[in-house]
Amino acid sequence: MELSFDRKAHREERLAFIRSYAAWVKRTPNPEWSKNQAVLIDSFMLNARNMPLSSRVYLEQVIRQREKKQVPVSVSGIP
Amino acid sequence: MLPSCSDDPGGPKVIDILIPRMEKETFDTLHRILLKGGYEFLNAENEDGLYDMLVNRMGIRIAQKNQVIPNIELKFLKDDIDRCVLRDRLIVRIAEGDLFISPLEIQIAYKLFLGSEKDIEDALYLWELFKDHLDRDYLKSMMKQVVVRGDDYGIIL
Repeated sequence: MELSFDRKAHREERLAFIRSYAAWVKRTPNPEWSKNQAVLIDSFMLNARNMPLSSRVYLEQVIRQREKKQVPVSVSGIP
Repeated sequence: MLPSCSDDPGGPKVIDILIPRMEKETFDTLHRILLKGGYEFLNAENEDGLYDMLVNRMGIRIAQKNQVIPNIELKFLKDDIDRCVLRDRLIVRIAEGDLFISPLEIQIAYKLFLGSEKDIEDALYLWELFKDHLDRDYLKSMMKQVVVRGDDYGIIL
């Protein structure tokens, strides 16, 4: 079976979602949107804490990912 | 100091902190304070090796003991862009105190430069949220420095 996937349409859809999410954040009071963000971030953190990963394996993953990206300069914030 | 999220494996759980170069003795003190405070260094090097890494323009990783993620990547300033990041940092005021983050214009330009789907989405998100408050000339100059354009994503200057 052949699967079709329109990469461009998928990207446009993602970008449209980002625009609508940003618009929602802008029109929503800070306590409300930040509460939602906090739930998400807390669950990321909880998940991360349960990650069975040694520091050696983790650092190897970081190096591999950076080699793939070929990041030439550092802007903190932004690895 | 200058934290901000980056995207190592496992998602946005790394805080990059840029600091001006410090003397070895000062680093030794920092090293001692962190270990005493319940943190550890993910790199295998001892304090001399860690300092050498920093001096040789590498980042070192710090996390709470027995926990790989989240972690901090600590680096010394090493180029003009890093110096711009520090010079033009933004202050984020939270209940516990002030945090410094890198200027949004640089974050957007650099995310576009990194160029993964996630990076582009992050750049667009920052742009959409803050476009009315950004210094567009500054953003334009940063985008020129890292040779990127945002037109394809609606980041139009």
